[in-house]
Amino acid sequence: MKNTALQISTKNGINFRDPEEGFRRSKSTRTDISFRDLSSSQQRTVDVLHNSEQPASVFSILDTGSKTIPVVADTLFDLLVMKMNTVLQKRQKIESRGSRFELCDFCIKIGSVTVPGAGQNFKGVLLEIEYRACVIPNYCWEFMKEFIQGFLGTNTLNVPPQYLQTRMNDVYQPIDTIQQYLEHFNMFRKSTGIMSYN
Amino acid sequence: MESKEWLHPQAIGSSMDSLGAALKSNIIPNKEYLLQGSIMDSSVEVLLHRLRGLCDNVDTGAETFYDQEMCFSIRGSSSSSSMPQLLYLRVRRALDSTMPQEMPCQLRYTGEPELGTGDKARPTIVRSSVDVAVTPSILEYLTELGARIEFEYVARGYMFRKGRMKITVSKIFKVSREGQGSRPEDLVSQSYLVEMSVLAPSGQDAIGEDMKAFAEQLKPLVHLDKIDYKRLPHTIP
Repeated sequence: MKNTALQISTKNGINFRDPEEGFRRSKSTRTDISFRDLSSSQQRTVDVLHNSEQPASVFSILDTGSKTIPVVADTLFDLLVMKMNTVLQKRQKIESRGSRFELCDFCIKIGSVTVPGAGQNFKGVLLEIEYRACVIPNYCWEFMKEFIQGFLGTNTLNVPPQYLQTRMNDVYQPIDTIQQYLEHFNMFRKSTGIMSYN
Repeated sequence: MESKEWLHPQAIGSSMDSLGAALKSNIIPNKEYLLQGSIMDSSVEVLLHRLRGLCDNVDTGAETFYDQEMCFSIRGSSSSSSMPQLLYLRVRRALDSTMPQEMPCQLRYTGEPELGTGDKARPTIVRSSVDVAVTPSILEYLTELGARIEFEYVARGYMFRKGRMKITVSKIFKVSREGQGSRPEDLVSQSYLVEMSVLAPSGQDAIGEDMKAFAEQLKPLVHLDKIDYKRLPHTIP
């Protein structure tokens, strides 16, 4: 996977302009997650995530409190999770669903984050910007920053997101996108106020 | 926020919806049809020769494998009974690659052999099975989830294919820390384990008849049969 992506979230709705000339809207996008807890111990959380960008994969992240262990699996992992219903208990689902645009090597995904269920609880907007021509974040960060600031303003995202800061020279993988989504989903779940960009 | 058309595109189905649809239309191969047997070391060459002739991969010869399998158990809580339920998951990984620690693993759930009406008449063991390819971090994932290793072993042998059937002839080794189970002192027995299996969606019981017919062709070298482990005498080494 040749890409570097990061997400920005906002609670109070960025006033996006209409897609400009040159943006190609390709398809709708969706990333969802369901949280599960171990029934025996409340300390550990299992998150199962899907991304429409990688439709044949399921991502699962186990959070033990002290560390996180990611696993990438085939789609039948979902079936296995269903079999584990005596071990894991489903708690909540949250999803980001919206449009996907392409501009040269950039892919921009704008999703509205909701907690499906009664009343479609709207949580905010998630913006994902992916630069697909480079796998090392450090090599393309300045370029991405310029691109982001081009349409979100210069006081947006001056430093790389926290998650990427320790991984700037590593090869970027789809699980890195998923981990960033998870961070934002967790903030959306907990937050009630306005979210900060960094 | 303004409601823009491009913020509300046509719905894209969730992966759970498509899994539900796949389950409903019964296209997921979630049943394993299984026959097992064993053959002494002294006769295994004759069996391999016969399988080479009968199976699909005639020209390429048998495929070899050298795998480690670990069986994990996770304790779940059941609301209906006070006894905690144990869920068994098996992780299998190849040891014959150059970087065995980094190769993907196979995660497998197998249910208890199905018992019920008509089971006696069935030619093979039928049990539910879910096979998933996963990244090698699954070992740490399961351990942190609270899973315990019940047992592990190394299997080294040959794999043949005949249509949908998979036939494996393998030697079972104990896992030794340094030799990774290839030393003669790690051998579990003086025989090879022979397994014939098919993964298919449920309800395709006709495949059992094909398996039985093929097993007949391997007689009297090996008797492939439904083995009920609960009825085997337990010997403690």
